[in-house]
Amino acid sequence: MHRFFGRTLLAVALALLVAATLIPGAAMAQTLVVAQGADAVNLDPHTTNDQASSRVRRQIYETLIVQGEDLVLRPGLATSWKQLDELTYEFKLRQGVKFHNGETFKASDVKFTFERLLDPNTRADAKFLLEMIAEIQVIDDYTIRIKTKSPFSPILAHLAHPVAAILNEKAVKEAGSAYGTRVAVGTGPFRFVTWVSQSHIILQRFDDYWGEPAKVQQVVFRAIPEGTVRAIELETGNVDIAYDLEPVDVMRLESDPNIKLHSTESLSATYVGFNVQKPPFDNVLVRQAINHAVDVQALVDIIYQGQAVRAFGPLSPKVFGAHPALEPYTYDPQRARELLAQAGYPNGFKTSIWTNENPLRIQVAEVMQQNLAEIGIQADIEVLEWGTYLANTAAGLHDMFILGWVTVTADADYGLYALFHSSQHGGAGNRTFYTNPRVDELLDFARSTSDQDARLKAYYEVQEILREEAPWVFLLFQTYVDGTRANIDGFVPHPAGHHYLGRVSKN
Amino acid sequence: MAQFVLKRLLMLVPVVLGVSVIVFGLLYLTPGDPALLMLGEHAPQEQYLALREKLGLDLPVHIQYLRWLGRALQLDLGDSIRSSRPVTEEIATRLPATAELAVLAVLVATLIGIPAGVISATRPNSWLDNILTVLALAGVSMPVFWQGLMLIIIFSVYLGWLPPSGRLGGWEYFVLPVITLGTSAAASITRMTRATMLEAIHEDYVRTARAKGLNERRVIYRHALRNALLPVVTIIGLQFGNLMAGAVITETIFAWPGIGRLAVDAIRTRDYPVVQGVVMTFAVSYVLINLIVDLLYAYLDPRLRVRYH
Repeated sequence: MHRFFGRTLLAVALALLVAATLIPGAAMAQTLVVAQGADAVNLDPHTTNDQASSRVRRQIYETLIVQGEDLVLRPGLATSWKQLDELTYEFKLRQGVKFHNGETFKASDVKFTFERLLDPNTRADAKFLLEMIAEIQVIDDYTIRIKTKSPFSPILAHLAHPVAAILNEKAVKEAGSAYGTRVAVGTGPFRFVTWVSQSHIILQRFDDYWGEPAKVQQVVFRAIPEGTVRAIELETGNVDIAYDLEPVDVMRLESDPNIKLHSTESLSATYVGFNVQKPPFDNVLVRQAINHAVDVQALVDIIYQGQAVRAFGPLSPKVFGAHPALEPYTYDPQRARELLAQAGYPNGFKTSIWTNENPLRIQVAEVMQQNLAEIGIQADIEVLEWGTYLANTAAGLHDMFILGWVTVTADADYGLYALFHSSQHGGAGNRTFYTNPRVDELLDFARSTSDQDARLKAYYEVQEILREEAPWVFLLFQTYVDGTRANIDGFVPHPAGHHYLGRVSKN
Repeated sequence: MAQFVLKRLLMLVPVVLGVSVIVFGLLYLTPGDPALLMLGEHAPQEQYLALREKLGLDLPVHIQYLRWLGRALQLDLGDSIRSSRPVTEEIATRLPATAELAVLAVLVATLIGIPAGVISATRPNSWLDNILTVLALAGVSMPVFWQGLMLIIIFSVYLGWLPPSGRLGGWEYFVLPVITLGTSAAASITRMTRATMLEAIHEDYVRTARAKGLNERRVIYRHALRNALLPVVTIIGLQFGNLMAGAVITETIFAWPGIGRLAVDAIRTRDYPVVQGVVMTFAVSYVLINLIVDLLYAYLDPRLRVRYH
């Protein structure tokens, strides 16, 4: 027995020793450690379209047009662009740009990238973002033309989305199936070095970067799923930046002088949708009544604990085209009862609220249930499995449902067209089955004209109509809180979540 | 012995086949069209049809199963819907991290559990026995999640001795997850050792050994423990199987890149090929560990070898 114990002890010691020497510790000086809640899935932008991957890709790749933290579009790999006719845009490309593998950036890479993204065999999640492209023409090495299938004015915002990043043809072809997991080549300020799946990804400063070089030598993205542990890692100084802090941790970190908190209003809207084709929700008075009956501010304060702002309309104020002065529905149960009586339901009715297993949404449904009971509406809450939830709301089997939408391009077209155009009923996005010829007309017009003022006017009118006709209960826009150590400078969070780290420095 | 091993190996076949039917069925037990579930909200029609074809959903179910099984036997479990990586590659890169954790946790648990159990049993109802019993009870009952966070708060936040999470090289990253994972196993082993030792100490052969004039240490460790160890080995084996699968929570708390987190992520994102692969891996490793336990048994107790001849 003694020998047995002796041998196991030796084995333990050996195992620990091996483990200790396997992964060399990263040099901490000039290394920026960033913690996020999930590991990236794939570094090939033409695979998944998840946030964790986008955040890493944003450092490696660049887009033709860059959407800054202020959501303004600026030149990226394209230095200038102009619209030649209704369908055609011409882009002048930046010269002297090198890919991380030493190749020179040229028009052929742009053509290759977009054609690969649009090829159904690529199975890119984000293909729909560039689906309006009909053809890409290479005019010369530094000029390309993009033709759209029909007039599509928000195209520049779509090209600025991180999934429209430019890949290097040679790197993709050489790597084959290893592209995105073992190889990722872009033109960005950091180049991909290694990836230990579910643990960390290491990026190194790219010395031949055409623009302002990155301030730190190395970025390490760590995947730390537990919110509290992520906060503790920041607190103890093992990570320099922690994304997506949870309310309970934020309260504790607020008083820590070594930590700076950054709160960002996001582009995501959470709403309750009605099935407007199904009685009693086909009656606009009923929908307005419910909008007056729900105490939205209480939802924001209590359930989201301040990590959200109240929504007055369907678009976050940061989105281009958001109405600046929509009048919110007041919380007014008396008015709600009156509207309900006018609609012919003085004693209310029975209905149901659907949600998926998201705990916040379930709480929202519970508060709504109480609010509705006050005006005589008896609502059952049904929690559905996600797949069933999507399928059944797409099929129109619901009364009311709670969902979210992220206007990833920060352009009103993305945030309104799929949700309210009558051609988008069901799974395409319009799960309320809302139909209004005037809204259709305005949305089609705003999509096709490049006159920005005319677009704004059209979107304002759409939002006024939607506010009045209330196919949704407008709930809230979530805010995200990121934390950095006090010695980190230059971190500016992007509302879409894919924060740029090229300007971040560590003192 | 060789024949014994062979027999035991053959008995594995129906078990693994049974598991494979259930694992395959996972995809069909969930309501809705699997292809639709995997693709989610924004999937265009052509992508949906392509995936249906790829999964072979238009074929009869038994043909689908046989095709799946045929590929699984060649270690082809398909590609992850999410990352497009082969499922076997996903599992192969994560399995070592989990195995490492489970092996260390079992070792630590054994090194603590057996001596603690022996000490308890040789001094029944003493203050030491009482303390150890209470500790063991606490160890079994403590929720892993809570324990992990408490350890982090004590050793990382207040004392600053150990990193809160990660597997970035260095022994210090192992300490907290191994303790967290090993605690309940250590407690179970302590309790089991105490119970079987108490029985063994009162056996005739122990009395004989003492009567022969052997010293007490030799009596306890050579004679009593060797016989008391049999059920303990079973517990250790079971614990090891539990740890492989039970690492899910520990790995999530400590951001440990193991197979448990792979399972959680796959379930959350409805990545069915990965879910199938991970469940299959858990099942097979459980079965294999049981086999090893049985072999150890036969080694420790020669009577068992004879029974299988």
